[in-house]
Amino acid sequence: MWSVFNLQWLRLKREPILVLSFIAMTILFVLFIGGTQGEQTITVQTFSDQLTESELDEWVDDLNNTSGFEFHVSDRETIENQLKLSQISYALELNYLDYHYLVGQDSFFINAVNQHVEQVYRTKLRISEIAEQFPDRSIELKDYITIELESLANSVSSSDEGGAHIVSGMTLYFVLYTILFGMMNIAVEKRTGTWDRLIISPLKKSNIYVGQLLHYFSLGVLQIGICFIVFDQFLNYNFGDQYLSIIVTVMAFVFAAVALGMLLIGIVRSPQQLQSIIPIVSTAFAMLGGAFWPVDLVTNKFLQLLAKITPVYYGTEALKDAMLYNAGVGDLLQPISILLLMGVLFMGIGLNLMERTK
Amino acid sequence: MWNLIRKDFLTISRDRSEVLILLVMPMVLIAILGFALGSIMFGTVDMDPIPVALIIENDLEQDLDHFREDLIAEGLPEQAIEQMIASAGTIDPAASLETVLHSPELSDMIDLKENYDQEQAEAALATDEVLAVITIPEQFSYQTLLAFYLAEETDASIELFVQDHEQIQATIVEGILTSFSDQYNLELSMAFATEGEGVETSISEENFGVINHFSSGKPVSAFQYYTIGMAVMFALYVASTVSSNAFKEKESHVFARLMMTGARPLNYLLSKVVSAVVLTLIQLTILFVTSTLFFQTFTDTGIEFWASLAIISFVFSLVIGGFAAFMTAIAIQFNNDAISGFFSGGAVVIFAFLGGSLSPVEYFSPLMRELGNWTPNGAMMTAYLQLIQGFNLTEFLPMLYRVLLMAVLFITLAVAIFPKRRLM
Repeated sequence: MWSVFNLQWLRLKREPILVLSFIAMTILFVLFIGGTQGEQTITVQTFSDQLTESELDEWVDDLNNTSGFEFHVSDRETIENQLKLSQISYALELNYLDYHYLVGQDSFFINAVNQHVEQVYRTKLRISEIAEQFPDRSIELKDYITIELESLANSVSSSDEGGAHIVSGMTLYFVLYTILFGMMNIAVEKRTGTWDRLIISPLKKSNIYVGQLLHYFSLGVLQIGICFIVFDQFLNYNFGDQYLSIIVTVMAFVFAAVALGMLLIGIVRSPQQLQSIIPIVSTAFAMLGGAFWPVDLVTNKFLQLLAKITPVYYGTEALKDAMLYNAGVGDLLQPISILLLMGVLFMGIGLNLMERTK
Repeated sequence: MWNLIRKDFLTISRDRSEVLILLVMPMVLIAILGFALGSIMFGTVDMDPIPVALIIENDLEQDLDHFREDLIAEGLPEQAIEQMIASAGTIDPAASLETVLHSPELSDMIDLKENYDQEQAEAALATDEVLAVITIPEQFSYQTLLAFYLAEETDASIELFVQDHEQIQATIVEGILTSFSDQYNLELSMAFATEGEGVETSISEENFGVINHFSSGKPVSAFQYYTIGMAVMFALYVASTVSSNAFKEKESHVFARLMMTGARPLNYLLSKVVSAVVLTLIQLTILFVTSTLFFQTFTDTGIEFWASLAIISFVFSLVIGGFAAFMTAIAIQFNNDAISGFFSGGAVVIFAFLGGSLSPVEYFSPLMRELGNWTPNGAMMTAYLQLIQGFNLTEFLPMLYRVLLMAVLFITLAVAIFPKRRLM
C-alpha cells in the first residue's frame, strides 16, 4: 500500500505543474474577486454636465460620507468610453436637482446605490428648501428614532461573509479540479497497462486502491492547507479559531471529492473523455453549490434543489459557519455527515463500476 | 486540402467527449448562470416576498396619556397641552412605520405577518418561518414625543431581529427600515426647526434616479451576457481540440502517412486553421440559435444584427484558428501535447475569467478590465456586447482589428515553429 502511495508522490514530484498551478489559481482568483481586505465597497463613477468641478466634488464628498460606497469623479467622455468598452456597467450623472444613471449593462448594484444616493439627495434638497423658506433658522439633524439590529447567528470573526465565501468557495473549487484531474492518472494507468502490472504484483488489490486514494486524499488536504495558510498569513483573511471544525470539514469534503473522482472514472473510462467531463462536473458543481456566489442569491427553485446534491454546497456552508460563526464540530454534524454519506455512496458505486470492467 | 478538413470534421464530430465539451457544457452553463444570476445580478429582483413578523408592543393611547401627565407636570397651559397632544398623533412614528410597511409598493417585497407575539416570532425565525422580526417596543411613541417636544435625550429604537445579518433578505429589510428612519428623522428635524410649520416641497417622489440607457439598444440581459460569455469561452476549447487531434494523428502515424502521399506540411497546418475556423463558426451558430430558441436570447433583432453577429463571429473564429495552428505546431515540433492540456485545463479558465465570461467585469479593478480586453475572448465579448447594446460596426472595429492582429500573429508563429523537415 505504501509503495503505491509513495509512487504517486514521486510522480507528483516529477510533474508538479498541475497542482502548483491550481494553488496559484486559487490565490489569484481570490485576489481578483475579493481583494486583500475583507470589506467590499461598491465603486461608482460620477460625472456632471451642469455642476462645476467644485460643486461636483462637494456632492461626491457628501455621497462618500458613508462606508460601503466609493464615488469617483470623472467626466462624460471617459465614462462613455468605459461604458462602450464594457469596463463599467453604469455611471451616475449628478445635476442640481436630480440625478440619472447611465446604464450600459443592468447591474446588481444599482438598487443599493440608488437607495443611498436618493437618501443623500432628498436630505440635501429638503434642507436647502428649508433654508430658502426659513432663512433665519438652522436645521440640526437629530436621530429621533434608530434601528437596533440583532441576529441569531453572531459573527465572531472580523472577516465578513463575502470574504469567507470567496475563500472557501474558490479553495474547494480548485481542490476539486486538482483531485479529479490527478485521478485521471488512474484511468491513464489502466489504459497504459501499469494497472494490470500492479494487479499481478504481490500487492493486494485493496492495497492498491487504498494507496492511490490515500494519495489523492492527502494531496487535497495539503492543497487546501497551503491555500488557507497563505490566506491567513499573507492576505489577512480571518479564519476564526474553530480550527478543528475547519479541518474536519475539509477532510470530509476531500473524501467526498476523491469518491466523486472514483465515480467519474467508473462511469467514463477514456482519459480523453475524462478530460472533458471533469471541467463540466467541477464547474457545474461549484456554480450550483455556491462556490462562486452565495446560494441565497438564487431564486430559481430547481437550482436551489440542485445545489443540495453537490458536495461543494455542504463544504462551503460548513466552512463559512466555522469561520464566521464559531460553529464547533457538533454544530456542523449535519453537513459533515452528508459529505461523508455522499463520499461512501460515490465510492461504492464507483468501485463497483470500475471492477465490473473486464 | 478539402479532404484534410473533412477528415478533421469527421473525427471531431464523432468523438462524443468533444461534442460534449464544445456544445453541451456551454448550454448547461448558460442555463445555470442565466437562471441563477439573471434575476439578481441584473437588477430585476424577482424574489419571493420576504416573510416578516411585525410585533407592536407600543400603545399610542397609553403613551399619549403618559405624555399628557408629563406635560402637566411641566406646568404647561392646558390649551397648549391639548394642541400638542392633538398634533402628537400625527407625528407618531409607530403609525408611520405601519403605513410604510403596509404600503402597496412594499407588498411585493415583504410578506407582513402580524399575528405573532415576541416569543412565537423568535421561534418562527429559528425555524425559517419568518426571516425577520420587526418589533416596535413599548413606549416607542412616548420616547419620540419626549425627544421632539421636550428635547430630551431618549432612546427610541425599532428592533430588527434577523437570522444572519449578511443574508440578502435581512439586508433588504434593514434597508427598508433604515430608509424609513432616515426620512422620518429628517422630517422631524425640519419640523423641529420650523416649529411645526409646514414646508412646501417641490421634490416629487418620481423625478429621482432616472435610468438612462447609454445606447439606442436595450441593456444587456443576463441570458445575453452569459450566452456570449460561454460562447467565447468554449470557442477557445475548439483550438485545443483541434491541436490535440493533430497530435493524435502524429502519434497514430496518420500524419506520417499523409506526408507520404505528398501533402505539403504547410497545407496540413493550414487545414488545421480552416478546420478550427469552420468548427468555431458551427459551434457559435449552434449556441446562439439554441440559446435563442430556449431562452429567447436574441429575439426582436433584425437581419442587420445577425449580420454583424456573423462578422464578429468570423473574426473571432480566425483567432481560434490561429491558436489551433500555434498549438498544433508546438505539439508536432516538440512531440508533446502538454500545450493543449495546459491550454484547455488552465489558460481557458483564466482567459474566460479575465474576459468577463464568468462574472461581469464590473467586479474587478480597472486594470483587470483593461487586461480582459486584451484577451481574444474578452475583446470579442466586448464587441458582442456593444453590438447588443446597439452600437454600429464602426464603434467596435478597434476590437476587431485587435483580434485580427492576434490571429495573424499566432498563425505567423505557427508557421515559424512548424517543422519543415524530418516530419516523421
